[in-house]
Amino acid sequence: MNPQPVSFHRRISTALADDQLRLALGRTTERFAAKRAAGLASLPDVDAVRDRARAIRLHTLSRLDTYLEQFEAAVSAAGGQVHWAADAKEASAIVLDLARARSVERVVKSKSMVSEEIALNETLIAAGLDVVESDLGEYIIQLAGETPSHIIAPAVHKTREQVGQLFADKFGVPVTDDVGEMTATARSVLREVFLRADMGVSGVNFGVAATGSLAIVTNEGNASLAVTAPRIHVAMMGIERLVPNLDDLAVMLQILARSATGQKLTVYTDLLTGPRRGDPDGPEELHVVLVDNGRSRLVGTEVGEILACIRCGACLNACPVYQQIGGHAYGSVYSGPVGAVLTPSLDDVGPWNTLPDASSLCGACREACPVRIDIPRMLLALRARSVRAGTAGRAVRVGFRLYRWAATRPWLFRRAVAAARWLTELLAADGWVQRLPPPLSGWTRSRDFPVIASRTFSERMRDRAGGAG
Amino acid sequence: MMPKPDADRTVQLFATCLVDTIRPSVGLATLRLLERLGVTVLVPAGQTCCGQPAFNSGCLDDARATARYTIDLLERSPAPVIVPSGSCGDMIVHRYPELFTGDPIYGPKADRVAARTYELGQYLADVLEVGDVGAKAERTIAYHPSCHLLRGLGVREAVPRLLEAVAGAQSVELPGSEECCGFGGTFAVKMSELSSAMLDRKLDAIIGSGADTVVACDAGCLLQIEGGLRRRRAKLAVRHLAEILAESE
Amino acid sequence: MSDSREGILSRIRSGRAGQPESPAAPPIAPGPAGVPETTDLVDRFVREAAGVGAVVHRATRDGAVDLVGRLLVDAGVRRLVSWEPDDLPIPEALDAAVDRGIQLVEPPLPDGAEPLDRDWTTMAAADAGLTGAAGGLADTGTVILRSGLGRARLAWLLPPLHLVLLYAPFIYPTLPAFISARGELVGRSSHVALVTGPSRTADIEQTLTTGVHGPKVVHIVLVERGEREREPVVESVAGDGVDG
Repeated sequence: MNPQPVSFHRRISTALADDQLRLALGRTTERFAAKRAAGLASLPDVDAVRDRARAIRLHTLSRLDTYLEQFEAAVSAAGGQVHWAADAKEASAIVLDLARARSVERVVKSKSMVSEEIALNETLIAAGLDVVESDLGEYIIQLAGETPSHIIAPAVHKTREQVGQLFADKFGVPVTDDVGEMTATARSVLREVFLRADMGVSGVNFGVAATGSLAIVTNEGNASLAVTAPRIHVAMMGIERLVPNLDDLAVMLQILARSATGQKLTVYTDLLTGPRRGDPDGPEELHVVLVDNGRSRLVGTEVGEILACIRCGACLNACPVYQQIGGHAYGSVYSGPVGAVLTPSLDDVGPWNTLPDASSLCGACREACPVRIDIPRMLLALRARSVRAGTAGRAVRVGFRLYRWAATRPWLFRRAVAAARWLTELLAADGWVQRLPPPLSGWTRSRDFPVIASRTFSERMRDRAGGAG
Repeated sequence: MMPKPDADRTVQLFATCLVDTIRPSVGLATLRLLERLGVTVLVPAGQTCCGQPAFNSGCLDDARATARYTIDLLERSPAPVIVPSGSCGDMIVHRYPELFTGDPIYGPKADRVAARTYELGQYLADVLEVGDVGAKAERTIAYHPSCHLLRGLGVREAVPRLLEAVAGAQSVELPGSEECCGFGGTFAVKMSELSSAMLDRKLDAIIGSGADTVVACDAGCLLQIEGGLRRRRAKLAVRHLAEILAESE
Repeated sequence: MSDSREGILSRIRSGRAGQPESPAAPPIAPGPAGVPETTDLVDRFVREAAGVGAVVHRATRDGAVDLVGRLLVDAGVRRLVSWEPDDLPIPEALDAAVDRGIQLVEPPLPDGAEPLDRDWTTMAAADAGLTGAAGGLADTGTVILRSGLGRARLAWLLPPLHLVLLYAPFIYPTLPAFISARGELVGRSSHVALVTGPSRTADIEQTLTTGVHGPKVVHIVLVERGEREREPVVESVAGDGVDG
């Protein structure tokens, strides 16, 4: 996670001023949200399934060490190999070492947030490997030299016109705004990539501790091809992405696609257990890289529950902040509400302590989350962490100390109100203030502010006979 | 339209700091409304703020100190606490017990206060079980359900039903009604650009709805929405639920 | 093993220390008593599969043989990659294709081939793939495919058209019901694929497009028990597009 050179506030301003971005975001988040609602409605007894899914995830996390050991043993028994990576650097190094030891030249990737998190592509490309993303959205942004802006729709920020122009520039095909034509172009270009790659790198949606199976879902079938055609399959997996057994996996798969795209099931759900065993195709070798990169530190903490996330993206689509600024403004690999919790949690020395401030705490994310993660509560915990660590800013700390004095001393409260009344009356025209001084000037950017009441409710009540308790 | 007869209906009103200092009319309306319904209303003297601004900013020590003060104030009477605000109600009901988990003195106190605290609409619908409070208002109303009332306290149907029953009032649908207005307390100042962009969307929906009055149950949302409407020179009335329900023949 | 492994596990253990364990979800009850009638399951399957853009054909065993040949010819297929006849629910279906002059393409690693000799050129030229299925899911319109000795994975992934033969009695109401009844298949095959309609993407402005990497067209031939004496029955159902 590379620190961004410009501040979060700057990135927000830039995003809000980008009409193309807001057009694309408006078109897609709304559609996603509507489809999600319909998808969940198609599941009989959806609340019971969500409760069950939540129980599965929390149970897994509560004995994660045991399940990881069980998973490792099961993968080995099926003929695969498990590698443990403490951080991003080690994870990338493991993949690079595997590639070098096996004379790999060409790598095809299917979309994987954990690969983004550890910046795997940069490492492999710097070492001279040819690395191509195969998910259409990822491929588009790789061509454009950008990064994903949504967990499940990485190119959500691009309009069709922009993609048509990009393909014309890169492949010399005629400019088109026909999505079907663009897709056909991508199919023929990427077909070659799949068949010539030596190594396929995928993410993992769920690992099954009991059987060592990996569940990987895509709609395009790109992961299916990437883990089938090349002779080596490397699966990148966060250490938290386990479920105990296949029954549990079935429950998770019932809600994953519904929450992500509203589909009842993703088009391709691949359950992989070990490399090929005499089959006419499939990889010779299967390597699973278990990536920690800050996760194990979160177990048992007040943000530990974020590890239950299944990366469906529902909280992004539901979030009124994400809807306004999209994913890039967050500046981190994981964006939206889950990103605002996960990013500063995984990387507590990075410049991320303002991400949790980008929420009105409206709770739309908690409501949308299929496993009912209380994201607002964790945003609050992270804000408190910043205050404790002294990174929250002096204005906040001093301001709330003064607030506390006033709020616990009625006589002081009355004086503070009187002072505010004096100030607002001074600044007001017509009972309303058009411009407040800093640090409150942000309010009057778009809103008038009323003059403090000439007699407060409390003052009126003091005169009310017998009213005071 | 009187509530079910009950020997002793006494409540205490926690007006909240915004109602106290910026919109006292909401407190007065709540008082009138409850008294009209046969409820005796105590107004504990010395009330200030529930502590939510500090809590939402991560200043937990300051939030706890303020919450202790308010808890002690509300513990002077065993009467139910009525709060004309979804977010302050949610603060007392859900966050107070969280703040004092494991505290041998304030833990039990916080639990007790939380258990008898109601947002106004919630109290009318769930405790008094009134639908029609005898209000009359010739208005076309768009209702904005505040986030913490909706998703925090889970009050979804009660308020629209109360508004439906207001004689002379028409309800219109507010597109995207469950979306946040962008207030969020200090968020509105700290992240003012974001807050303003969210408000813009809400205002477009409100103005496009054809309503002449927008109603919410939270002085924070009202402050945000009214401030925005004024800046746009839009002539809609902005009212708290209590102010509508207190309007009568 | 490695230091990282021990470090990760010990950090998790110290985080867990003193925390109560969250209870496990109970195992899924095998099919509720009131499992819908078989015919309901088949009808539901047909509806859901058509809804996600597959073309479903209902046929008796005899009808299916002829149907497979006809579908391939109608689609202009000249080169076919197929599972071994014994791995198809109806081995004669492959004969029906060959009888109509369709050429069979070898999978990349036929028995005895060296792994590094993989050659995709012939297989990549196939116009269609023919496979069986280990099951179907009624509530999602999914077919379940599994790799194995005579069962190439690329047959359902690579060609633009996938034709899958599914025995109607293999249809289960839901994924949890299938896993509960046939979960052992997952460990037994190194690749079990749940395929729900043709390959699709919505990565450009959420506009749905099919056939981006996998097949653009999926034909499901649903083989139902038919009386030997009866005329072969064929009924085709195609969705009027892919719904979201």
